[in-house]
Amino acid sequence: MMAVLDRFGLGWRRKLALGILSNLDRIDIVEVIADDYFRAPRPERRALRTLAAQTPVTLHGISLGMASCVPVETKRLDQMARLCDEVRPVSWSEHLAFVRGGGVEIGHLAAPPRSEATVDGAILNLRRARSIVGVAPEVENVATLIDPPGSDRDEATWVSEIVRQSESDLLLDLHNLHANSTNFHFDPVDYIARIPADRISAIHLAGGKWTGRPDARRLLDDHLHDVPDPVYQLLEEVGARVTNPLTVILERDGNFPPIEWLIEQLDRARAAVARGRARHRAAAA
Amino acid sequence: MNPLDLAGPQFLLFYTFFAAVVIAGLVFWRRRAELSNSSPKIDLSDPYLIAYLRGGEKEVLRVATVTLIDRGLLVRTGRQIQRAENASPDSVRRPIEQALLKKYARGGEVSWMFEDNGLSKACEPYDATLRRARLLPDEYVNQRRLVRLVIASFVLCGVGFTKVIIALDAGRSNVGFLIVLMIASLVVATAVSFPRLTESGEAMIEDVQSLYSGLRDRAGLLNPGGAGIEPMMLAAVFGVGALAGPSFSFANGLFPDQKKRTGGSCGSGDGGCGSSGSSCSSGSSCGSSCGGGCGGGCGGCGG
Repeated sequence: MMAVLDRFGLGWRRKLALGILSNLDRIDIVEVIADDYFRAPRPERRALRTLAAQTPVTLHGISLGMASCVPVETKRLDQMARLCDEVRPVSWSEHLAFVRGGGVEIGHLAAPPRSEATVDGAILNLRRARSIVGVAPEVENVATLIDPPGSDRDEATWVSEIVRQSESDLLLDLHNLHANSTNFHFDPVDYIARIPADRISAIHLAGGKWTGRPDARRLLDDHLHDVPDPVYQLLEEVGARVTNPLTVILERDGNFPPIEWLIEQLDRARAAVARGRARHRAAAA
Repeated sequence: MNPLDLAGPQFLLFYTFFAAVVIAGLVFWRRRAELSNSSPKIDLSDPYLIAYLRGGEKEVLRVATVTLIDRGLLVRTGRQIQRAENASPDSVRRPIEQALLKKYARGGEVSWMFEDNGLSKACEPYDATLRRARLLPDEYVNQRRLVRLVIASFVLCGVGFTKVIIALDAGRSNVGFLIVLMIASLVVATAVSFPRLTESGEAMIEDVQSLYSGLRDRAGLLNPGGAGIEPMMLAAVFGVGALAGPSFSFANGLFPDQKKRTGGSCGSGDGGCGSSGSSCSSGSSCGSSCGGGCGGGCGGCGG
């Protein structure tokens, strides 16, 4: 049987530059925040192209607001298209979130009401994104501290509907899933079982912290802490269900440990996927 | 109006302008031809390769010297350096470091390193790598440069000599200034035709400085003592003058001219310093944040 070519990488942060570039033998791919380069001067965009010449790059959007009844601004899609043309990433992605409404920027990746209207809005937005950028984005589930008001279906159903009815694959953020399942008391393994496994193409790993009053604690996805054990267990679960290649990205936005420590977390992720793949092979045999 | 009919002083003015246009065109032509659409793949984690790209073997020697002093393998006394008692060339793996430790086994002036053939030889692999990537001119690039120079020279000399012949034909012999001007324009054309780096090389320096701009931002926080590669890379990418703080003040004592080239704000004589922060660099996948970073009161990243 041919080995599945999974890729494991880190989010590009300036403070991690030396660590990443010194360990490209152990880092297969780098994820770059696309929005940082939308209005960047030409030399910075060219530097990104140089980075892409050293290692595969995937672009990650944070400001398009795909999961909204409001159409994504054409200007932003044009910026993404130009950046993709310049950098030639292996893929690009965006969140299933809304970030603005009525001309007001929320300043946050907010979970929209999970309803037919937002499913339809997201699908339209994803089609426009594909037609302008040329490639459909992977879409990412977001974490939320409140159950979105106005929802008439659960998150797994909502995400599955969008993925099935669009051409976009799923970037499954396992810490977002872990945080949501903890905060809203649902089974994350059941969530993974219900979403279309053949459409999961990428994974985000991150860490978080507990927040709020002791009697009403919430798990916050903050990208400032190590990946907790339950997230690796979920990754193994994904590995056991998904047969297509996965791109696994460890996101860390601050409180940076030594690069070795981040790479060890990547190695744990490799091991988790390998265990999952082995389970899948054993079940199929 | 035919410019060749201009009187002497007016023609000299015209020729100066003409030569400037030809030389500017020559520069533009070279830059267009040498700037590749795709960046080459080189080892961006090799400090000596980057140092060589930025400043040739002298820069490699400066970075290596500062690094070895920082690691305690060379000892500095004023402008003299000497291998530390407990240091051995076998204790380092890079050929340039081994060569430097051998060279200064008995001590000597810092400046001696710049005249040592053995040390130059240790830098040859960097030169070869960068020429293969066409960040330094290889034979093909140099041939193209020569062809462009020949064409430009033909144009410059063609116009100049035509005017000389016309002048001599008219019985005038005051062509000395024009000949001097022609020679000067040829010298300038030759100088701009053969810079050390290709245009792709210049771009690569800017790219590397942009990618490593986070290092420069943290220059004052880097730990001395050779515990990490960060100070070495900072020196390689931005010059030894970029090393900040009292722990690295010896670097400026050894190479005082480097502080001017790389220190201060952004002005670098080595190809710019990139930008230390993009236009909207969130450096985070947390969305546009809620007035100052993710993970705070706004509900974390969510992304």
